[in-house]
Amino acid sequence: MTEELMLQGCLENLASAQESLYNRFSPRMLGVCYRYARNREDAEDMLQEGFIKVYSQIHQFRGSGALEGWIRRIIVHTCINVIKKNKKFSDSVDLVHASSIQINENNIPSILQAKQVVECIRLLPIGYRTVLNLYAIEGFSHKEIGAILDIEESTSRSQYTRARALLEEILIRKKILQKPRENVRMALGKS
Amino acid sequence: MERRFDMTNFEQSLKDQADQLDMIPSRRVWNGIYNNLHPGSRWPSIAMAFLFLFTILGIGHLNNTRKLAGINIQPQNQSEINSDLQNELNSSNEIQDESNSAKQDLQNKPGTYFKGNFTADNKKNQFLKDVNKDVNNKEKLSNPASGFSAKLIPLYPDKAADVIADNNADVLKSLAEKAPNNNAQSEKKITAIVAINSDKNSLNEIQKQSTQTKEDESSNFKTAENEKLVGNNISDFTTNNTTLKDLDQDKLVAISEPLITINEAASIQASTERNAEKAQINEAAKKKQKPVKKRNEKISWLFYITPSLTTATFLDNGKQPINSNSSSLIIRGNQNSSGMTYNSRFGFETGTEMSYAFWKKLQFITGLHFSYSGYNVVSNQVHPTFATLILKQEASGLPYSKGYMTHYGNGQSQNQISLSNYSLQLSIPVGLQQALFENEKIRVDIATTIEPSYVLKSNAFLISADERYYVKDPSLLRKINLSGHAGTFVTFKTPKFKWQLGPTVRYQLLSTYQKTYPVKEHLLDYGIRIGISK
Repeated sequence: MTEELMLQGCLENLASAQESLYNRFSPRMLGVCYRYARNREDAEDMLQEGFIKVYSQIHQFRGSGALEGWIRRIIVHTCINVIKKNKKFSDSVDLVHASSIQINENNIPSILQAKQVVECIRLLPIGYRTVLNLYAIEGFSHKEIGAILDIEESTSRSQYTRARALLEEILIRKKILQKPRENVRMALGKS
Repeated sequence: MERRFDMTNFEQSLKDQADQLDMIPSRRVWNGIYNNLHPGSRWPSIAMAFLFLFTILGIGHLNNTRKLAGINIQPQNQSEINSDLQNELNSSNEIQDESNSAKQDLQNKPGTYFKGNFTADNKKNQFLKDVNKDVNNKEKLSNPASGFSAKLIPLYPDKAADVIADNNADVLKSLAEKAPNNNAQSEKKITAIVAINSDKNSLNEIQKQSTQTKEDESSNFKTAENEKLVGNNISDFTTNNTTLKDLDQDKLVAISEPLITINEAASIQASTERNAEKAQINEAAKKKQKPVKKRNEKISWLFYITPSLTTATFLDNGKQPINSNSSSLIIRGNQNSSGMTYNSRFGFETGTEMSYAFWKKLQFITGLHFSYSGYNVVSNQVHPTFATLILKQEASGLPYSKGYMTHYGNGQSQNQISLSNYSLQLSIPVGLQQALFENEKIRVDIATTIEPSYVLKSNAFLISADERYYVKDPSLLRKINLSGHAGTFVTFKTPKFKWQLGPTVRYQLLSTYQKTYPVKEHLLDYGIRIGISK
């Protein structure tokens, strides 16, 4: 089924078109949700809520950009909303002592690199992880992140710096990335 | 592997790696989405709930009606009975007059005749049927209410011949037996004049009298040759294997002499009628004494429709509604000139209402209402952009923001469009109605109800936190709500129906939105109710 037909069917609330759209984009979107969620079950809940929004707002899609990008933005915002409902998020996002965070590296799986990278990201505290996801992967500016997460722009910037340094260290330890430890310590020290 | 993750472009490498991750969701995710998008399975349960409700109401209504109707026969009912009995008597008198008139006719007319046209044994049955019919008509004669026809009594002006047709072959047999006697000379004419008379008792009397008369006046029994030819072509009529054709093929034997005189017949008739009248009056009185299913005066049903004009009130910190003109209101923030602009819109409410008078002029009212109310939000189209709502966590009350994609601006620019915020609700009102004034033609009531309602369908565009955009989030809308309703009605009583007319106000007590949305919206409907009841 072509994208146009899927869109038309979704506008007419046809279950077959909706399922086609879901089958085409749900694997990639579950990967997105997984980066924000604590576990797979949470990620699937986010995905479900996100796709319901996609179908309810499908009439707002103007076709000016890629459909996948449009869906992805809705999914990301859904994930953010779910995270923000969790009280731990507001505590986590204000953490300042990033160097004291203990990472259990035994949780990192030794499988394909994409999965490894994502699992490394998920090892980060939720506040760091969210800022990193939004800035490095989704491409939001710190100003937009500040608006989305209700934090200062400077807070977003510092959170990202710490998140990046921590992630680099994790990636190096897992031998996914090679870099002198000194640089990591310097990065952490600068922030 | 390491080379693929380029530290010089950390973000891009991270993005490339992360985006390669695909995961297959479990089937329950799609099932959850499907059930949310196609909630058709909810309707059967809702329909069953309403069916149950209507059944309960119906049973309650029927039970109340039967109880009250069986217990009381009011004095006014007795007067109704008397009135009905008087009507019955009048009817009887009319029938009596008709009867007398018929008798008069009989005396003036040269007589009616019975004409047969029989060809076989079936014709005998036909004849029997006709005789039976006459007997039935005779019974009608005895019943004043069922009418009286002079045509059923065939008589000569000064003679009354009577053949008692008592639906048995004996009569026919006797007729057949008489016929050969009277027609021994062949080619005799038979005139059968059948007098049909009142009820069975009178029939017996008439039989006795006719027997006596026959004995007394047997000499007057003449052959058909001396009488008028009344009927012919009685060809194949048979009785007890005796064919009239053999006796007289196309002529009837005339019973030329009356078996009873017309005065005697009239006397018997009058006596029978009087007895019948009495019996009927007694019967009618008995019927009236029986408990009759009667409409319960305490319960009444009203069907109505209320065209209404809907507006809304908003409650939020730092925001005050400001009237802009007669048909629109502006909700303006205290930060800048941006805000929410909307126009009132017409809606309606319709349904049925049951009222139960439990104390003098005070009535308990309940029923089932459908209401549609809403307003138009003034907006404008913008490029797709993100907007946020500030929401509250239900448990802790802490605020958090929620992001949306939207292309609806706050209407503060050109290319304005209208967005519809509406609510379709099903309500069950419970309340009281007090009669303020009442006479024979008009009644004035004041009523107030509380209406728990289920929101069947709704739509709402919410102003974003920065008041620049409208976003749509159905999950923030309540499904159960509560409204207050008040009105004053004037009821005009006509012979068949009661018409109700009056202003009503309906205020939605709970906000349209969930508690997580800090803005409280309360719909307010002003309407004119038009109702009809029996």
